[in-house]
Amino acid sequence: MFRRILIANRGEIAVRIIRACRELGVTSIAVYSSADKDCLHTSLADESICIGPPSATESYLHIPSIIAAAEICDAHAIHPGYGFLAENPKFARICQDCDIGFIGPAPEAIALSGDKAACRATVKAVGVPVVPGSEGRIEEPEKVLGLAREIGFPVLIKAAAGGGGKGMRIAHNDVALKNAVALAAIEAETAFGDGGLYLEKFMENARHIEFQILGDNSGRLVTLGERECSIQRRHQKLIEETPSPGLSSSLRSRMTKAALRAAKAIGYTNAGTAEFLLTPDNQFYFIEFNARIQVEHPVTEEVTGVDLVKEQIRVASGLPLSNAHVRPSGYAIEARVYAEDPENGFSASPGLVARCHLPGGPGIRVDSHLFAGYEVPRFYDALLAKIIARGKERQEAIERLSAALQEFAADGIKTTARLCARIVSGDRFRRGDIGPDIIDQYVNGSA
Amino acid sequence: MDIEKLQELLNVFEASGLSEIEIEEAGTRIRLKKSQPPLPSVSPYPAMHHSQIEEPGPGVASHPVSRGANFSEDSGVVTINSPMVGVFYVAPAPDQPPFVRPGDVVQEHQTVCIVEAMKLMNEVSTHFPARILKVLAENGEPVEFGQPLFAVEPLD
Repeated sequence: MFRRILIANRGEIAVRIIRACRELGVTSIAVYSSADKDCLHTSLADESICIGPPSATESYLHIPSIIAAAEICDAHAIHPGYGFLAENPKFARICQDCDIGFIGPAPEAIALSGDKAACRATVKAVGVPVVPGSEGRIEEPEKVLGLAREIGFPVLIKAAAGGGGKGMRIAHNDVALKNAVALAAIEAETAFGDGGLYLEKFMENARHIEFQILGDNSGRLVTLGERECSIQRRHQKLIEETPSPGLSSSLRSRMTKAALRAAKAIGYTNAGTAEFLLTPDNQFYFIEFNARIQVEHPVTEEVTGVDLVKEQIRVASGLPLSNAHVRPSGYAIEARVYAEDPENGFSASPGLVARCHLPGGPGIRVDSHLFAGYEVPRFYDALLAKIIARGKERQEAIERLSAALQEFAADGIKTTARLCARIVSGDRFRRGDIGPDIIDQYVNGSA
Repeated sequence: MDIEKLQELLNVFEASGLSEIEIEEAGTRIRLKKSQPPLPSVSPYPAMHHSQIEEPGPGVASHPVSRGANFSEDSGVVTINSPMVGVFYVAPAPDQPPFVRPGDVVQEHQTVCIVEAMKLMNEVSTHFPARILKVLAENGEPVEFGQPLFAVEPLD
């Protein structure tokens, strides 16, 4: 087992990893930018080191600084958390070359997961359904129309090198498609320096369901059940739960097998997630593989009793998975509290939190780096807290989460806590009638 | 010099960033010296040595970056801080003389030390002409981003 772990991240996930290290008797080393000198992860870790100025590209994303910090602190391994360098195959490879353990999958698996077209092809080759679309990039724009008619409108034009919605366009007919291709190419060229596009069928009202994967170096792969992640804002998740309401056991079993096949084909180890779209007529399609610990991992932990971060550290240090048979029980729901203003287009709301209150009580878990006097910096992700409720029944988890969200208070900034409370306690959520459109009702209603 | 005037002088000296002052007035010479010079203590890397037993809980960890805060513009002493995390070296090679020594006058853009990060030797230079007063880090010591490396006196 690694004895000294450097955490190349900040915020709640850094705090989460520090806690796992402490349980394992591992020395935790925090890195921080000069903007984060008074952050919780900086003071909570056993050791801490300043790696650069506030700008992430010069601190948390700056590979030479992270590696230099690991070397001078004599860290045996680096946990990248999520975001920042977590899915950067180059970083994983440099760690390997510097003889520092990387707590995540092999660089090859990260690279394959990140190349969306190649990953799609790999997974499709082992019989996992993927969203119908072009084979790789669109090479001849004149053939796009034929392909779109073949798979059926509406279609989605996506940037091959893309992410974050840039270079993405929906087209409902021939004319719109022609325009969309031209615009998306320009947008992709500007944003990524690569105008390459590919085409996918646009799945209307599809739910977003993902499966937690865990694998060790002996080739053993397990799934720890699914997470329902359909409630999103700006392509980012807001409320997640497990098990997914209304997923029949036969469908769950088929999706589980597909997730495992995908992970095996990618050559996956450590913790990762296979993401699927599920249409209203119960057809599922693989969309991507996330080669990292996910923000929403606690819901899986709450129903399985497996500590995913501890498992990550175990398997990265060469130990086998500690849980042979996992039998999930109960229900867990997570709401993400962001420092954002839902009534103002989810614009960031940085500032000093002079006073705050984090909820508690039976079945409530709060993963957060928030404390009274914390100044939410404007430089980084706006996630402030994850409030997770567990219940024997879904109903119980809903009541607990709803109460906890109403209890949450952070003076001085706007957050998504009240919006999440309204969604969770609303009729649609209670019925389990979850879809990507659910958020519009609440956001438009309050605007 | 009467007691009242001396008291006033003591107050002014106490409040200033000066470490030493000598005044001669009508045959009387007064020399005041602070027992602790206003240079930061150079403990090797406090953040890396604080243990959870000594300093439990959040909000108590010491941050080496705050070292050097003792310096103020009016004391005429400023610090050259490390532009990156890495290992501090005073000389281009182990068998070479150091780039600078206390007392040396350096010109704008003159290399004063090296900070090694990932096998890359990054030269650190001054942005202004200055006199080196003190080297604040040990040769071969790990340094953080922002950690004061030299106390210098800017020269016009």
